[in-house]
Amino acid sequence: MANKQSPLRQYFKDLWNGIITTWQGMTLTGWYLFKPKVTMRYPEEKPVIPPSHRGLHIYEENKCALCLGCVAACPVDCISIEALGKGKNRLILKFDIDYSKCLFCNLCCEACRPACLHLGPDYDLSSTTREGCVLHLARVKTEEEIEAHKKMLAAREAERKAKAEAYQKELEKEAEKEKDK
Amino acid sequence: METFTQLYNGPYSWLLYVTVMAVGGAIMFVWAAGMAVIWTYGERRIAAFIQSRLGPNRVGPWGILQPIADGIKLLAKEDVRTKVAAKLLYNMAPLLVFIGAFMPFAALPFSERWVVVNMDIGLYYILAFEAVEVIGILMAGFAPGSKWSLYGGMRLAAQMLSYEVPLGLCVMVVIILAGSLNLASIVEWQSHNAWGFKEPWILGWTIFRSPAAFLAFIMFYIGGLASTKRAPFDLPEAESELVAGYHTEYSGMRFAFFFMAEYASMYLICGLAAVIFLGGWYGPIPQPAVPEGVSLVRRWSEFVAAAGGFGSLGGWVWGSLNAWADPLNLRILAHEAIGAFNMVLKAFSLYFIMIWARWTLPRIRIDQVMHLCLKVLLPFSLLCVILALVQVAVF
Repeated sequence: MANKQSPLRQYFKDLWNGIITTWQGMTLTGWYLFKPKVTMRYPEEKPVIPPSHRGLHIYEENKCALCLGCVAACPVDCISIEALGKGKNRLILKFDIDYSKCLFCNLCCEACRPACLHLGPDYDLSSTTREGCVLHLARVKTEEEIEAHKKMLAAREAERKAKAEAYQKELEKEAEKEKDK
Repeated sequence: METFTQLYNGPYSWLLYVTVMAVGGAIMFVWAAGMAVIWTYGERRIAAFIQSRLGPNRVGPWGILQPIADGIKLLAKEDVRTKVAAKLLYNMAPLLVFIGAFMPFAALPFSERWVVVNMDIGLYYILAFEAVEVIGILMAGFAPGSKWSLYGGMRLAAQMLSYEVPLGLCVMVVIILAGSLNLASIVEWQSHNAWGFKEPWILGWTIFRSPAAFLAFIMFYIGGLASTKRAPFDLPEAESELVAGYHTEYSGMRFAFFFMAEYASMYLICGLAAVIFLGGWYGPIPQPAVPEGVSLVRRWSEFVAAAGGFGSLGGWVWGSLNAWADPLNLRILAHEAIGAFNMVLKAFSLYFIMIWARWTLPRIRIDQVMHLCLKVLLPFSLLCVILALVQVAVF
């Protein structure tokens, strides 16, 4: 593709192109001057978060069945749970998520069968220490509460043992009756 | 000391001159330094808007106190000097650059009477002092012994020296048309007898008087961009290649001097363009008519003399109060204030376009800079001069 244009013609063409492209650029940036801005004054005004956003976890303690599905599903082992009791009588002492590890991968929420763990809209977590990155999602229990629960559990345990013993005795009695026959 | 005339011509006249010089110098210094204060904020904000950002908005309402915070930061910074620097040149360079940018402000008027020195060769004086800056920047490039600085300095020398020529030729067009180097008489020429009108309003401005002047205005502006090292001609301080060009090795207040000098000389170019091409203080807002050759200071002195003279306190106070109440004095004040507003409005509009261009156009190569100057601006400015000569000779 040989450029057969005369130098003078090329000169004026370049000049014209320079003027036109400058004009185009200036009008474009001139428009942007009055367009709505993308950034915002962050702590004062916050962006609208879409519902599908994967932010900090929302944990509904009363719905939790203590199935530990989330712990099993977590690929980075960032969830640690401690509890007293089982099933309906459980008292969750600790439900910690270490956000220095968490990937916000949503696997824990998918694994959660009672649907008590969700990824929420909050995103502004920051800490200067590793300990600060660990969030305690379970409600903090008082000493009395724990003691009461322990007592309740012990009572239930005792009740259960008594029932079991009674049942065992019944079984034995029935076995004796069978023998007598 | 009975009257102002005696003061003016008496043995203590030097006192008056020194006072006027000191006060005028102080006002213009504040204005020149204020350019950096106003327009660093303005530039950052405009740049942000063009890039869909918000820019500085934390310090004070809408961030308007940001320049003060910047100033405190620069004052508190350590003044570092390289080991191999040539001490004298290193220390002198920022001052010389600042002087080169600041001295022309003495001749740059706000309005008809509001000017420190109304020089007959004002235009020449301003362009001459603009060139002093080159020496300072060459010094700044050479003295610290840094290759970035040297490259920046050399680029700037090449750029400024070549752009002074079309810049001067464009100014020449105005000089030929107006027939004067005095800025006040250039504006006076623009405000009378154009296109058959006695009071031509904006049609009297130089750019509307001749196609040559219109072309010259655009080329003067481009040349001004180059001589103030603004984008797209910011090769001397190209931060992506040369760190910061000629002021790489300067920090703290020394850097601030370069900074202020840049912003001051930008206002200088814009103000000069406004005066010689856009009618200065004449239009778009009309000024009240004022009889010719009336001096506000002289009128004030007459009032003081009438109220008891400069010798007594009552004369000063009562005379000044009387001067304030005088309708003609107030009209002169309004005339000057509106004129200054017109002037600053035009200069700031041009300033805004400079910033707008900076955040639009990419930096061009040094050979392109030279191409634009020597092959485009120079022949066209010569053409403009010839056209202006023909116009003056024929019409």
